[in-house]
Order: sequence, then C-alpha cells, then structure tokens
Amino acid sequence: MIALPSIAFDGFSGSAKDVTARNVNGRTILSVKAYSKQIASPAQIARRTSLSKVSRAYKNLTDSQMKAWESLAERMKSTSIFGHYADLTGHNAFVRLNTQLQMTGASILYDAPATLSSVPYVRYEDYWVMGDRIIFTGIEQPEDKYKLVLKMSAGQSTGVSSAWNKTVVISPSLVPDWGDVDVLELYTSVLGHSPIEGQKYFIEMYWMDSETGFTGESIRLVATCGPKSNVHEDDFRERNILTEDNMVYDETLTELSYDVEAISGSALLYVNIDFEISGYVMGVSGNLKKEQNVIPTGSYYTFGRGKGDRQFSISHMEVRVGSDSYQIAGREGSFDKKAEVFGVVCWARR
Amino acid sequence: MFNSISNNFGAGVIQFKDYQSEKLTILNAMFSFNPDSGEYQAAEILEIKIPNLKMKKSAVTAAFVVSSEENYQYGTVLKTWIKDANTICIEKIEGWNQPGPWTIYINAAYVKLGCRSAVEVTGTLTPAIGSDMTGFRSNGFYATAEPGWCYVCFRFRTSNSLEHDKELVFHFTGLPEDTDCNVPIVFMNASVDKKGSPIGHAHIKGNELTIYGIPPHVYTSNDGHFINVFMVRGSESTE
Repeated sequence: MIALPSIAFDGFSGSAKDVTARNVNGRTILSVKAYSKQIASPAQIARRTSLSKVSRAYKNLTDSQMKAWESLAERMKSTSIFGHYADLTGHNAFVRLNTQLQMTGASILYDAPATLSSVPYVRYEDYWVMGDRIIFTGIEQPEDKYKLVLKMSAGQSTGVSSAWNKTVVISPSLVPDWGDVDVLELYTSVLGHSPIEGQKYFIEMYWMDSETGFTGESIRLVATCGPKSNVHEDDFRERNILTEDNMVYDETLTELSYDVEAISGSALLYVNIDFEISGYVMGVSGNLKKEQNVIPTGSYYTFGRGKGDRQFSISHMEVRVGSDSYQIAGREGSFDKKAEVFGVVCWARR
Repeated sequence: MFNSISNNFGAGVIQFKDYQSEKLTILNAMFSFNPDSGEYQAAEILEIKIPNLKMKKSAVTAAFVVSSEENYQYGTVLKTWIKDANTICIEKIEGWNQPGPWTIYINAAYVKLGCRSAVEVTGTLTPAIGSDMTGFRSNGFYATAEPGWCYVCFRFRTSNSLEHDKELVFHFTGLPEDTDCNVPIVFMNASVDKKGSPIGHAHIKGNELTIYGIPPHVYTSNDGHFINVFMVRGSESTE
C-alpha cells in the first residue's frame, strides 16, 4: 500500500488495471488488488456468493425498510450483540444478520427485526473429541428458534496455542438431541477426515436466533483428541438405548422400528416401537446382535395402539429386554398385528 | 396440585395432581370436552397452558381418551408430552369417531431422555390380591413406589361368573396407602372393529380398587384386562 502526497494527486481516485486509488481523510491511498494464493473451497465460494447476494438485496429495499435497518443498527451500536460493541450501518446490520440466516438456508429477512434479541450463552456439560466420535453433552436448547452454530479447526499440533482463525463452520443449525450434539459425520464431511489422536482442536459455539439472525456470544473450547472427556476426564458412555440396529429380525416381522431407552429412577423405560407381523403369534422375539447391559433386563408393560384391522384398539404389550434377546408380545387388551407401541413405564418383573 | 390456565380444545379448567423434579414429572388428571366443538375441530394438537413446570421438555408418553356412549364406552391411547415449561400437549387423533363428550385420563410419567448413567431397579413392591377378588384372577400384579409417586400394573383375567354393570370393590395388600386416583381400566375387545377398546372407570385409593361396572359389551370369559398407571402420592408432592 502506497500513500502519496495529497498535493500531487488531489482528487485522484478509481482503478487502473490492478491498482485502485481512493481518498481517505484527505489522503489518496493506492492499493494493489489482492489475489488469494489458495483455491477457494466450495464452502468458501458458497459463502462469498451468499454475501454478495445479501449485499445486493439491500439495494432493493424500500426507503422505509432501509430506515428500519439504520434504526436497528443505531440501537445495535450501544449493545453488545455479536460479542463486542458494534459500530454498524444499516447495510452492515442487514448483511450481518442475513448472512447468518443464509447459512441455515433461511430466506432473506427484508424487514429489520423490531427489537434487539438477547441470545443466551451455550451451556454444556462435557465433550469428547475422539477418532470415532465428536460429541457435546448436556446442551440445552433455550427455545426452538435457537440453532447451534459450531465451528472447529482441523487438528493442530499440541504446541499451537491459538488457531481460532482456522476454525470453519461445521454446521450452522444444530439442534441438540436430548442434550447431545454429535458431529463426527459433519466434521468429516467438511474437513475430509476424522480427528487424529493426540492432536489439538479449536472449537467455537454460539446460538443463533433463526428468526432474526442475531447470534449470542461465542464460547471457545480446546480439546485434545483422545478417549477422555475434556471437562470431567470421563470415559465415553453411550446413552441407555436399544434400537432395531441391534436386532436380528424374526422371519414373521415385516416392519420394525424399535427405540427404547432406560431412564434412571426406578428403572423407567421410554418405549417407541412400530411393528407389523405376518404370523399368527401375538408378538415377535429374536436375538440381539450385540449383548446389551444398558437396560435392566426383564419385562416392561406398555400400550399398543392398533394400526391395522383393529385400528385404535389398545393392547397391553410386554416389552421384554434380555441381555442378548428381545420380545414384544400382546398380553391383555386387543392385539393388532400392525401397531405402534409407546409410553413410559416402570420395570415390572424379571 | 395446580390448575390449567387455558386450553385450545374447550375443556374448561383442568386440575392436575403433580409430582415434579427436573427429570421426572408425574401428572394425574381426568377431564372431559366435546369433540364436536369449534375449538377442538380447529386445534391441530391439544395444548394445555399451565403454570411453570420444573421440566422444560419431555419425551412422548401415553394418556387415554374415552368416548361417552351410554354403557358402551370405547377408548384408545393417545400420545402426550411436555412441549415447554408452560405447555402440555396431547395428540389429536384423526379417524376415531366415537360419540362425545370425550374424557381424557392422564396417569402418566413424563421423562427426559439422554440418560448415560447406569440404571438400577429400585422401589419395587409385591402387591397381592385380597380374598374378596372374586371373579378376577391375576395375570401378574406389579408396583413400584418412590417418594412422591407410585406405579401400578394390574393384569387381570375375568371369569364369566362376573355380573356386568355392578360396582366391584377389591382389596390388595402391599401398596402405599397415600394414593387416591381415578384410573382407566382397559378391557379386551373380542370383535374386530375400529372403535378402540372398551374402557371402564375405576378408582384406586390406597389398597382399595373400585371398578364402576364391567360394561355389557365386555366378554368376561377368561379374557385379559389391565390397569397400568402412575399415581401421585399424597395431596401434593413436589421434590
């Protein structure tokens, strides 16, 4: 960048080939057009396209819409909205909020949000970065409209103390599954490989209001890839779930989705099963592919609702869970060969 | 105990007996509404607005809905869940066209999923049938009692010596004495139809079970019926 004496080039501005001149505070600044040496990734290209699309959209706003964005920007100046005190124009505010929304696939917000949105912090219990799992636990979504934005770096050597400028968006719209945010697949699809044991990872997370694009303050975490969690140094333990993935199908079974989960407190069991059988027996049984020890073995009785010839009929269903076997059987009430079985019940018997 | 603030299906004020912790909510309620009302017809999901619960969201659990045809009540099971700290949701069932008013029984446990700690069986009881339980035979009685709540699962067979439409009172041993709850009893439906299952009204107070008549359309010979409910203990129990 070259600063020239204002006497010689007063009023000079514009571009010629790769040189651009502009006047800043009475001085003319010449700069050479910058070219990136790196090839842009598809994600970078998409983001640049989105930025330019959003930026262009501002020009099509009506005067009153622009005034509303200017007014919002004024209010944002005095409030820490993006983690620091902002100095924004209406255009800045429009681009900032809408690029966040564009990341989630939402359409452009033309009308400025009427009020400033105070977006909460991300709270979490623990997190693991392992070769076969990247998971954050205990993340409570404050409201349905808040989506979690997660950024991570590629693996760095343990001597690196800061790589925050190397984080990329792994996902802009995560929704915790009962507190779990499990992102290995997303991470691998964005960065091309899974985490490597012993390497260091830089992580940023914040909530985004999916209705307005406002974001909360980012929390920054550092993890070393390994089997222990990064807060409590615990080994990873799966949830107490048994699903159809672990089941050998009975030959009479034409359809099965099976999801049961044990909850502490007197061995409560959440049951969500759909099945259809073709045989004459009022139920189905089989083996598990892999032995389970997360659900107390025994019988639980819950409710089946007919979906076939006896639609709406209620059957009292015995859901029997063994260490290496399963059984779903109609006991009392009226059994339908096609039914959904659901409810939360207590352990009943061995 | 708390009352609902409002609902979107015309049920009036609903009184709930509750046990609450951050991970478990037990609710008991019984209320009626008219399924032909404009409010019910307009609703996509039945929503009951309530004062703040400790639990902000739950997994799906089960409630019962019962029709009102005189002496021939049929019912089915509905999904219910806590949507947020101020809203209990109940599935609006499509295609079940039994006459109203309909009565909903909530005797349910609402839980949060995502548990990773080891789960142990605790609080189990061994209830037994009293000598007065003539005409009913057990397929298995199970119960669990914890501070603030109790779970009972009664599996019956009936004999054809039972008279229909007669109030039946039975006694157990081994259950906690501090329960007092309206519950549905589900009977077997021998016919193949899409009416649901015959459901009767029953009441559990401590170790006493009252069944307010076996409906005439219930075939009593050796068929299986059941009660499967969570009950709040005491008049109000909040952890």
